[in-house]
Amino acid sequence: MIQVGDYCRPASVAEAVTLCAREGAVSFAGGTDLMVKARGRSQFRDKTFVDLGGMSELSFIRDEGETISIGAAVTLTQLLQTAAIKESVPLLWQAASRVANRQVRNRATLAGNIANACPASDCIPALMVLGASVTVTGTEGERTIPVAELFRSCEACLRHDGMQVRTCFFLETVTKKLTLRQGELITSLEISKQSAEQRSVFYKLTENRSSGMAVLNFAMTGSLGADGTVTAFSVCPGGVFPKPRCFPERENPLLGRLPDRALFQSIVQEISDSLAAEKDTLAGYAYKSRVLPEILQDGMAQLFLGIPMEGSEWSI
Amino acid sequence: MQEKTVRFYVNSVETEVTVSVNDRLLDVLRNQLGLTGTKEGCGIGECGACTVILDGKAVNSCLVPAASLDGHEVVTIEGLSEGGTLHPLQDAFARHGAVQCGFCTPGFIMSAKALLDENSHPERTEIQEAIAGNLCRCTGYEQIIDAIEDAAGKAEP
Repeated sequence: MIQVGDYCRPASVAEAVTLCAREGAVSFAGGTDLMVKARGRSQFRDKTFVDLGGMSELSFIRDEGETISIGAAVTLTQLLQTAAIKESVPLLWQAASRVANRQVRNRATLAGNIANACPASDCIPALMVLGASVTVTGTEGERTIPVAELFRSCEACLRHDGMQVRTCFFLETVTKKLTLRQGELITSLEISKQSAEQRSVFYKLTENRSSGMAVLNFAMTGSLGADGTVTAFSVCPGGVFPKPRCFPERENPLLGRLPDRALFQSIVQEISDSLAAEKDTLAGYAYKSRVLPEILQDGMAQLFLGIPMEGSEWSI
Repeated sequence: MQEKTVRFYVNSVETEVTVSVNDRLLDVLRNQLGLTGTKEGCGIGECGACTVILDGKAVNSCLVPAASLDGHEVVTIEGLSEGGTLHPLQDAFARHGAVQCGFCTPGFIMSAKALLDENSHPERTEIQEAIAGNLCRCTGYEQIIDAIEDAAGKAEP
């Protein structure tokens, strides 16, 4: 059993906007986070769940040329079974393939994963380094928000040991963790296709190699020029910061240089230094601060030197 | 408490029930329809004991709102055996010692069925990935994977 006031299922986005504008409306699509939160707590007793799941108007994956547009009701399984996604945005495909398990992926949506805004989300780091944006609609109309501007800083989430859904502090995330207005809902995501030179690595560290929440994860992209020097690099680590961040944040010390582990250390050090600011807030800091630099080094070695990370052979 | 009437197929039988908005598919199956083969292990979508097949996809029935079921199709473990004859998966699980306490078994079999319906001859690694959302405290999984491989081997190519 869960504890909720009411349930409704709009047939269209227009109807959803009307329903979501009402007091106490909580929108969802797959419900794989929401149904867990509603089971244990009573704070949804006066709320109405607005079910966007399976809405045909939101169930599209469109190739727009340089970008791909993904509707908010597209499940992670549908994403994974779409060849265009695996070919054009392999980093997102990799990240989505590591979310939970098949049963969850058959219901969960990319939009929901973003809207839930967990610091340990697997898809969010990929969307950050790929420079994705979301299209949002509400009674005041439609707007587009870059993913990098979608999240609010949340120190409380760092204190949340394990970052499990069932003990999440925030039942509703729209105004607490996101820069959305009450009543707004995500209708689609837009992602730039990875270029031919744009390599990527996604890595997720879990307890016991289980399919649970990430203890640490990261998504990184980079490219090498014809002379073998670095022409681009960006990484978003997950499970560590109060809101998603891409590194390097200022100048990129890798550009124009030949990749080697000593060079990677400049990026790794910047991230470690930033992480040190969370020392008193982040649950598991002692572990994460020691392990994150190691896996980042290994990730960059895989990205630029072709040395596979341990555990990266897991694939669908 | 708000209620909704939903009409949906359960094991190919058209079923109409009035559900509370607080019901999950799991609750309706067990409490209203008497289909207690589907189990609640964790209630949070991590153990897979509640796995059923919804519109052809394996899902955790503990995460599906009952009010959303109108027009959908559910297959539970009870829907696998016909007239007392075990489904090849059930038979393989029994022969391979893949069942000890049996609590996880319906969930595993439904995940396996969903896999074989999509991919009738999976590699062992594909089986492992497909059942990653089903936990077993008894067996150590090897017998379960052997059983699924066996059942897959008996499927039509």
